[in-house]
Amino acid sequence: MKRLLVVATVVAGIGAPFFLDVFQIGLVSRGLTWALVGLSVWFLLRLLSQPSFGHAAFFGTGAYTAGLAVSRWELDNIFVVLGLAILVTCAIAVPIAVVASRLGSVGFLLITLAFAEMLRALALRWRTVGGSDGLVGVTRPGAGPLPIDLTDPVTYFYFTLAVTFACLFLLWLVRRSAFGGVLVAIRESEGRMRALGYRVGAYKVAAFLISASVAATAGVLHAYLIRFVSPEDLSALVSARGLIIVVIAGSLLVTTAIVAVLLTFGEDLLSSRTENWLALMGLVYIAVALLGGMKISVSRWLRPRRRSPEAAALELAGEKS
Amino acid sequence: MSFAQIVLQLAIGLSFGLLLFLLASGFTLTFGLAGFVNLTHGAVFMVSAYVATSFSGGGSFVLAVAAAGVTGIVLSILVYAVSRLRWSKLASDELSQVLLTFGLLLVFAEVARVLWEGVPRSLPEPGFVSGSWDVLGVSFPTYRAFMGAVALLIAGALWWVQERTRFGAMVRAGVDDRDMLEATGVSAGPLFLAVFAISGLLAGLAGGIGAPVMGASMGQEFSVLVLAFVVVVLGGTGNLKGAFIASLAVGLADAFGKALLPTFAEFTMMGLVVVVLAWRPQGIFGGVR
Repeated sequence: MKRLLVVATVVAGIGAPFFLDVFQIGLVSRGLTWALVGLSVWFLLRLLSQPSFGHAAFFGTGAYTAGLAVSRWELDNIFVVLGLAILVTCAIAVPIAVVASRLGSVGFLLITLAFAEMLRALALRWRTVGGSDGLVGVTRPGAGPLPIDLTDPVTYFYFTLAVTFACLFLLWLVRRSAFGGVLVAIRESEGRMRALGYRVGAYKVAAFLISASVAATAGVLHAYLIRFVSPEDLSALVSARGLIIVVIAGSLLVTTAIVAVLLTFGEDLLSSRTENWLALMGLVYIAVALLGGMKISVSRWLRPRRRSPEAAALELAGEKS
Repeated sequence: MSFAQIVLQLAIGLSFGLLLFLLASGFTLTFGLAGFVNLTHGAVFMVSAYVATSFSGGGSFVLAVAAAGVTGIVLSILVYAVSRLRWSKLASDELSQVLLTFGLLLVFAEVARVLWEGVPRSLPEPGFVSGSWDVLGVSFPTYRAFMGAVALLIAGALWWVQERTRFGAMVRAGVDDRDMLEATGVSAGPLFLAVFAISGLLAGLAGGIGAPVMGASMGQEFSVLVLAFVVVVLGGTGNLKGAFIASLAVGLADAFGKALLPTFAEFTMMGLVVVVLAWRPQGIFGGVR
């Protein structure tokens, strides 16, 4: 079932340009960038139980780097830009990571949101990066050794799709690696891992940087997709989008992409119908928060109310293996 | 920066810090007692400030602040009522609390945008504290001193309720160990309701008395909220004493940041956060969790 879903998603992705018009292809590309934001949030949430409400900081930094790279620094290679964006983002993420990873989950959430909002306030006032007007005149750079033209919407869609799947695959590898195992072990018992001699802080910061890099990649792709960078790319709405995608998608990686694309279509539909679409999005968030997990509570009712400790332990062991 | 300038920024920072405490204390109390992360707190502040500015046409200042306080209570209770719909799930799930309150924040902000057309508004300072004082050759607005004094008064009242009344004892006990409090026969529901109402009242009053200085504008729901977060994290979550000290520190960092580096003011705040948390990750006075 899980494999089938992965294959179906890949096929639907590759086939999308054959049954969608150019505008819809743009929306799917956009949805894929949100999926990357979702993935980066998912990574920290699932492996370390760290809920980030500040990934807009890294998404926005990636977007600004991409915008400045073509409009100011005249870089004309998307791979160079991606590398540069990840470097710049990591430089900004290191102090945030060091501070945030020392906090509990709620402190982590509050402080990541605070840092992202501070960066947004900075971008709003800093004239050098366009201030509140943002960066206009962003053009898509070349693709280096690849013989493709990114200015073509369908080509750009395939490029976005390829990058998304590459990131998906990379994060999947990291989760399965020894490094990912250490992260899960830290989540389960931080004190024990510290006692075993693992440098817990360094692991947490490394995981944070991996996550931030994925968000930065999303930012670069998004900036070149809509050819515009604004302080809105740093807003809490971006971080919230990442979180809600993860919450709806659940633990399965590939559903993240599906949910993100559906959410993008939904947002586009709402924003084209009414100018107060943010309030409607607010209702969506409220509904997800109130209704989410309903199924789990139903299955909990069906289960016998009282279980012996042995049965509970057995079930826990079963879940872990 | 001359000596007089430094004194001026100190005064501005302290008065703003005291205002910030009103906002942060409500947030930290609901979190400490009910374990509830309420992101709407900044939006409650903003809507209350807008309500206060509606009295700018010759209305009484006291009336404006009172209306702001009532708005705060109503909105905060609304948030509590919505979360009561599935409290059993929300109580243990911070991620859902965050999504819920973020959704409510978007709704509140959008309603405010429709009602007040998204235009920044201000409230004239009341006649009895208008004008400014001359301190060492620089002028310090009298209203800021008044604002700081009122905020300090409210903070004092909060401290009295918290430390000297039966209700305050119940809240403190709940922050320490909620299960034990319930086991002694105090039901948590009404207590939560009261704390939500108080936190809304504090946010509303902060919006009202802050309006002559900060005005009411879209985007405040985040800009103010973020400062409250910094206070809560620095002070230790659920800790009023820590929140008080942290409020003053954040107020000062904000004032000096804006005076010294007008464009990069946020760097002072980030610097403060990094330095304090590197020194004490659990907050200045430790936290609930």
